[in-house]
Amino acid sequence: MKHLILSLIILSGAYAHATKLKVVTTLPDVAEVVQAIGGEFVDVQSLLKGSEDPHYSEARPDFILKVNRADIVCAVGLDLEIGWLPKILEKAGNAKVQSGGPGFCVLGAKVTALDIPGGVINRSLGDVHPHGNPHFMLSLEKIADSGAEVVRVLSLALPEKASVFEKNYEAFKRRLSDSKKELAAQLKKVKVLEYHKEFTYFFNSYGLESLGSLEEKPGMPPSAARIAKVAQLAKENKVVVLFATVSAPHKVLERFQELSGVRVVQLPSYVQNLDKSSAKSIIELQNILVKAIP
Amino acid sequence: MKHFFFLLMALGPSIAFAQSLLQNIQTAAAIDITAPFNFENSTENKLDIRSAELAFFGPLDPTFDAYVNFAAHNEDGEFTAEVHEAYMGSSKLIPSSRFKVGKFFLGVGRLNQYHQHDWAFTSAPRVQREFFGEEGVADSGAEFSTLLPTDRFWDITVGVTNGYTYGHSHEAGAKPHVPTHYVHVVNFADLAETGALQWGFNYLGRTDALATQTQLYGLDFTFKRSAGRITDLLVQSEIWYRNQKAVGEPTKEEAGAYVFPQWALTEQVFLGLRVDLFTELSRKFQTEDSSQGNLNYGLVPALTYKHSEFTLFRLSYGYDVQTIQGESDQLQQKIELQLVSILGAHPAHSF
Repeated sequence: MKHLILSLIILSGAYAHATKLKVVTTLPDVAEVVQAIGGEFVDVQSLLKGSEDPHYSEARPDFILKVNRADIVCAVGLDLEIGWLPKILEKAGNAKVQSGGPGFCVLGAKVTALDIPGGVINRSLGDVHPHGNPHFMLSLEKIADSGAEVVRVLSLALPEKASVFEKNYEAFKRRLSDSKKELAAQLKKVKVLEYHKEFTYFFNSYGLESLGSLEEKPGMPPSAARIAKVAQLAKENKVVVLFATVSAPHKVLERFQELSGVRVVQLPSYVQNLDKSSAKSIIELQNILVKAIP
Repeated sequence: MKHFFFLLMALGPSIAFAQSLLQNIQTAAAIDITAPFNFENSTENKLDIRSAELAFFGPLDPTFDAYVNFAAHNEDGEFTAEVHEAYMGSSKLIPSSRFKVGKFFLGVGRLNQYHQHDWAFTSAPRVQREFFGEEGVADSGAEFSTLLPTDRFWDITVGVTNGYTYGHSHEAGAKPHVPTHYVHVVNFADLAETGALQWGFNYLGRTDALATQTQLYGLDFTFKRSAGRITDLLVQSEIWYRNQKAVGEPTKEEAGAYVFPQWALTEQVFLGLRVDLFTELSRKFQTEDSSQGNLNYGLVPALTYKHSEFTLFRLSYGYDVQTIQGESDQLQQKIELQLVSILGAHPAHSF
């Protein structure tokens, strides 16, 4: 009898392991949130490595295959992945993870976005996001907010573990909050700029005064006149640094630095699943950004 | 006046409901302007709208989606508007699968699945023109695609369409002996830092109303290497073989291919060079029963400037030579300007 009970316990453990939810995320940042909340009940993989620009990614067939096998798909939302994720969801033929399905999870749904455009929205404004700036994964507070969506979707898939997910979520929020306090203590309140509005949430989160972006219109390289104008503004306002990602045009950045004398730093804006990267987690990425502020 | 107010009150909720429903319909429009300058024949050298398209798409209900595309083409100076594609389908009903029923571009090869304004070059290579027509083959029927439950990506598409006509046609056509039927098997390989390759095997068959039997076999390749926000190297190619057997006539065999490598010079400027080949394998001298060698080859360099994701300008030069054994070579050259504008819904970033 004892052996039978032992066998049942072992088998039930094996079953629990086999029934891990397969979660596919668009970005490593999202994967980290899901892992933190889902713990041992999820098997998470990210489609992108974090070194790509998620605005411009493509519906690769290997992504389609991963989404086909997923129980849950989690995305940033706010139209960040609009160019490629809908195509992947369509081609994967997996009803439960498509929009409206129980396994479709959009973290941006639980975030109060910045930069929501008003008035008439069209492409004369550049590549605008009508629902607001989607780069909220650089704000620890917004990441904490977004986790509520992960709890909702995981709990729907495994209702019996809902309390575990809620507990993990609370612990995750505390970790983020503690890290935020430590990092904020290291920062001076300086004036900053960014090339594209990818670091807005980071600046906003730490109370850094941003003079805006070098791009006049999102997704459109700035004109020579715009570079000169912003360089002049940066000098007058004693801006100390401009943040840009590696995909920002080098010549534009060089020209800005030359005209303004302001330091330009190229930084990751997403967690990266790369061996050589030092931004392998949300907190590591925050550390890198904080250290880049003079 | 009172009746007018009553009417407004009665209609109010239904108008609001209709507006809210319409928010779920996505719209997109594409304008494709070309200006060919033929060196040898200048009669059609003018800037003109090659096509203007208007598309609506969205979910019909929680299970089905629909897509309709109206296109107006300039045909001999007159704009002919037509339903280019109109189908309903689902990717939710059958696990790992999707299907569509209606009129659509057949899911074979690479170029045939994309509208001309989405191509990486302006005009069709000879093999496309000969086997599918300048625009590609659209027909009414049903298409089913499924992902195989394997560790690697294998996507199989099969389709059957009426086959009354083939290629671009404004006529009703005639009932074929065997409708158009096709299969497309697609595989993908992630080559890590080197890039990624998608390739497919294609078969298409049809026997028309005159009992002419057509069989097409082809391979398509798309290689991409991405860097940051752009594809810094694209290599696209298709290789096709066709045999046609008409009643009382010998089998006609033809083969053709194109390969198009394109490099990113900057984030917005791309340089490509298409190499085209086409030959009629079964060609014989008229006076004797021996094979007559022939080869049509072309070089088409193309310079593309993408102002944004929604606007591009392209300049290309075509150098096309037809060689036939025993005959003098025929050279055709042309320069083409193209402007493509996309309005409305964000275009899909397909691989």
